[in-house]
Amino acid sequence: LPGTFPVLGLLRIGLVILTAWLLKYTVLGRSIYALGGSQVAAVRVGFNIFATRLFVYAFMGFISGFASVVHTALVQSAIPNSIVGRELDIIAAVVVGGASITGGSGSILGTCLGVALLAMLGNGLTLIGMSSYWNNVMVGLVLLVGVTMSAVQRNLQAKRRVTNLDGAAMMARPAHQRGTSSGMPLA
Amino acid sequence: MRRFLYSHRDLIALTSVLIGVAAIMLLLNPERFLTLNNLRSMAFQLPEVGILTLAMMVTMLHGGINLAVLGTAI
Repeated sequence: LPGTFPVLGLLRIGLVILTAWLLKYTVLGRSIYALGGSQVAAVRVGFNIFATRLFVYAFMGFISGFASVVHTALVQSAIPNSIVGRELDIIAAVVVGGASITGGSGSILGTCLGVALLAMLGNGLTLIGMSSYWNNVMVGLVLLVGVTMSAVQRNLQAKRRVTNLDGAAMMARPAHQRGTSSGMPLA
Repeated sequence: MRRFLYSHRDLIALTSVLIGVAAIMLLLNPERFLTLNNLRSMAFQLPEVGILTLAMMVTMLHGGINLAVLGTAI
């Protein structure tokens, strides 16, 4: 298949590998995760919050520069407001990919899968013959489902953790007091 | 193995949804979805949103959000 794969795709693959390496194998990437998980904990561990935050936004600008090169190569002209309004697509792809909005969790692979899902959905709907106005509706629907599922999952996890703590506290008591809280003698 | 499946259950769910969407599209439009031209046009459109998504993901991982990513890009 020579000539079918675009050069821009190679650029994207290179950037994905760069970001994945950065997030997984450098102290800086780990500190980004730590900062997203809990800022207080990251400060107490000793990460430099200011440097990390500066790097994050600078890195975002760096990658946005590549994206603008790609966009200019695609449309072959520089229109200042040609992709304004696509933020929803981008945020939907990130959230569907499993990243939490409050930070601290998410992966490169999930994000790539989210992008592929949204692209396939839009393309397929256009091919079926739906009006392209419905494309935004589908993106919003996918975003809603993704956010709801992650929230429900987090609630379930929190509940499970609480019940586990209850069980551990009950087992930690002396044997003759164990049954008193649940009303059922154990031993 | 079970531990691996459990720790990657989000990715597995996402992959199955992706395969399901692809199957539905293939059922609804079998003669045009899986053609070389369509795949090529998808491969041309993907990198733009994909690269912007990388930028947004790093920002969201660290706990913030930057809605000016498109403004920075252009």
